[in-house]
Amino acid sequence: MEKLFLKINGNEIEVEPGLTVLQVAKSFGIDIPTLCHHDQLSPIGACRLCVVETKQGTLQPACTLPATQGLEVETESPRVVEARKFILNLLFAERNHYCMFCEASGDCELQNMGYRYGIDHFAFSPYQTKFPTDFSHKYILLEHNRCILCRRCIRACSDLAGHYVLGMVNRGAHTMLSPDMESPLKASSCVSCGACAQVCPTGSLADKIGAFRGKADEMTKTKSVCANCSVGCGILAFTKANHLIKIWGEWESPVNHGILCELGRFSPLNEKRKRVLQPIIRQEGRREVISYQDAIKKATQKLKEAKNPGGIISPKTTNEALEAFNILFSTSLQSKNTGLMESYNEKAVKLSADGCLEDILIANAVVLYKVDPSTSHGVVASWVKKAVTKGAYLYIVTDEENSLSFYATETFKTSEADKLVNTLENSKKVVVILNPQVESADLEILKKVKAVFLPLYKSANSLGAIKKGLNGFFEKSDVALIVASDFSGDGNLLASLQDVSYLIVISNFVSPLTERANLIIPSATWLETSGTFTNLEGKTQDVSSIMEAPEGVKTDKAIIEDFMKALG
Amino acid sequence: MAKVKIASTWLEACSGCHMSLLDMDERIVELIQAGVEFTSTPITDLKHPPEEGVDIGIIEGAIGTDLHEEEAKHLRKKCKILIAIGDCAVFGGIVTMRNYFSREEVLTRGYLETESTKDGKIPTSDELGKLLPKVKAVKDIVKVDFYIPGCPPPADSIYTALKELLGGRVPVLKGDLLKYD
Ligand code: SF4
Ligand code: SF4
Ligand code: SF4
Ligand code: SF4
Ligand code: FES
Repeated sequence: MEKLFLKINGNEIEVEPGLTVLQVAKSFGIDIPTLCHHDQLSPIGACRLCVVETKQGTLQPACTLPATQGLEVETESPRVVEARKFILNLLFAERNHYCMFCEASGDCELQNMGYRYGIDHFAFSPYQTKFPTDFSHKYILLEHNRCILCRRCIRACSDLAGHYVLGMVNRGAHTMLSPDMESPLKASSCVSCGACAQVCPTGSLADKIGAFRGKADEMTKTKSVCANCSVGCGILAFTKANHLIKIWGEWESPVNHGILCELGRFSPLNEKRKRVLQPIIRQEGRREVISYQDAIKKATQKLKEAKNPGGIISPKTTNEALEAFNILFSTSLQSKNTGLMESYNEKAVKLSADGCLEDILIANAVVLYKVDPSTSHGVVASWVKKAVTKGAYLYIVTDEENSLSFYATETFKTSEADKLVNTLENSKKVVVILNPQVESADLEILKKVKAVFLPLYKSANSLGAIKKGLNGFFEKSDVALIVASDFSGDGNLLASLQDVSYLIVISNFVSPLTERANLIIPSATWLETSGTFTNLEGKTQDVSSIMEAPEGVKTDKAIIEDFMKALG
Repeated sequence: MAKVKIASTWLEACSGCHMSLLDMDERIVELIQAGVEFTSTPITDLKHPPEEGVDIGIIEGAIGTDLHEEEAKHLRKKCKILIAIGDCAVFGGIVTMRNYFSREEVLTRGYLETESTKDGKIPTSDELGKLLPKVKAVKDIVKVDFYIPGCPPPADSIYTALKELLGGRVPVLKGDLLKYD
């Protein structure tokens, strides 16, 4: 391809075509300041802070200026600096930028630019108008008084997350960020993905739980993987003194590219369940705290004496814990009586060999087969909305309401599911997103469709467990071990435990399952555990411990290993 | 060496900036040894700058009442160089929070309606300043020569600025010395 030659600050450089001046400058280590620009968003040239001076003497925003043959620009000339100071002064004069009581102070990009350009007072007196503050949303705070109208949130909500909730209303000094058409955020179509708050450069959009709890610089940041469904979104967790402050989507993750859903971003911050903190034994109707060593001794003794020891494990624990669990039963206990807290149709699992989430984004047709991903696999819903926005057809097979039916080209009753086959005949790239608990009859229909299949397993490591031969409950057992993670145990599970005379539960939280247990051993949550999860695409990803477990509380893997040691 | 006289005052503010000034600790002695003389300041407890004037005037706090306005104008007349220290003096700062309410609302809330107030009364003494409709930055009333923002400004910023002025240079605050919070 033809090379381009341009000059930045007098230095001749050679670049590939198709880049902006900002991108070129960045790749050569030249720092051009930006505000409305964000690496993940398409540039719109709204703030003009990134202006550079061309040889012809014009000021052009570097973020939107294409690098063209022979272009010569100065990035920090006196005119450029003067223009930037002027822009900053205009921004500071609008709305309210008294930093000492702002949530963003210390993390704010506008403030940093003020420092960079030595703004030591406001050249223009702020115009002192009170803008509304929208506190209505459960998690997100919208403080219009700090908004600089950079539209990053709008682009993130629409282009990255596919939700199209945010927009601008009015013009000029009256321009306001607005969810839907001037609706409070709570009453809007917002799905609480939090992408807007993650990209906001100022204190205008913040997540309530993490707000006013310190500067990001003073927090520990840990990359990990969300454990709240099988998508396996990359996260960046912010902690301070072992408190979880906020969760961001990890931009670099090949799975979610920085986008999360409510479950991933906010539910871990909102954890209210009661932890199990010490081993507890129930004897003659009384509950007693016992030492960890005694708990291990008691549990292993019971399992050893059992006629038919059984084990059920949670699909939300790591592959490493699953492996240890399998060895514990196959080797130490010589038992094949193991299972998983979920059960799937193996045939649906097999259907899906090479599907990946990216396929949704390039599909011509997407099918939601007896699934509604919005509340359970939010990022999949995001991707579906993005596909539809790009022109893909969406077909939904369901007898119930589906939160994405607004986007559907057609919705079929389950009794008409076979109509899919004809409908999809001419579509080039079809992605079928299905509930892997479907019946074999459904699979007979789906087999006739030429498509990529994505089964939405419920949990972070469901597929990891299935691959290790764990699927569904055990048949019968007298002494059972349940590694529950944060599962509370639904009616089905409790019913299947009817014959169990001694139940050992390893659990994060107090739950109906621990209520039923004879012996409870506390375990670390996924936030406190390192290892790997296998997501619905079959990608095995690293999970890192984000926080320290309470004193004396171990991970599933460590506890299972202690069982093995005790059994010899 | 000729004395460099400084007068300072606080207007609508919390006194935090003067605390930062005291936070210069032993460097205050160093400045005094280098020829600085603190004349009227809240710390020396003298209210009025000397008749003959001072070299440097320092204002902490925003302009919230007619008295603040008078005082700022008076100090401006009496000094050669006027420095605004702290966010309130520099920008208007935290006290501009009341700009989003009317004077009546502010006084009613403050003197009559706070949860701990019983039989409150809005003070009317002539000796008290009358609230201006809006709180302003010092520069909106008088010319300011240097700004040291911060809430409060770091002692290092105040020290650096004074040191530079004493050395006959124009202070430029950068890095950790320039902050808004
Ligand atoms: S948004 Fe930024 S510049 Fe504005 S008050 Fe908050 S910290 Fe300061
Ligand atoms: S939380 Fe998500 S859906 Fe809601 S406004 Fe922000 S980006 Fe849009
Ligand atoms: S809320 Fe934040 S991201 Fe959205 S326009 Fe305002 S400043 Fe920009
Ligand atoms: S889609 Fe699943 S993995 Fe991704 S953030 Fe939501 S719950 Fe977590
Ligand atoms: S960063 Fe280029 S115009 Fe805003």
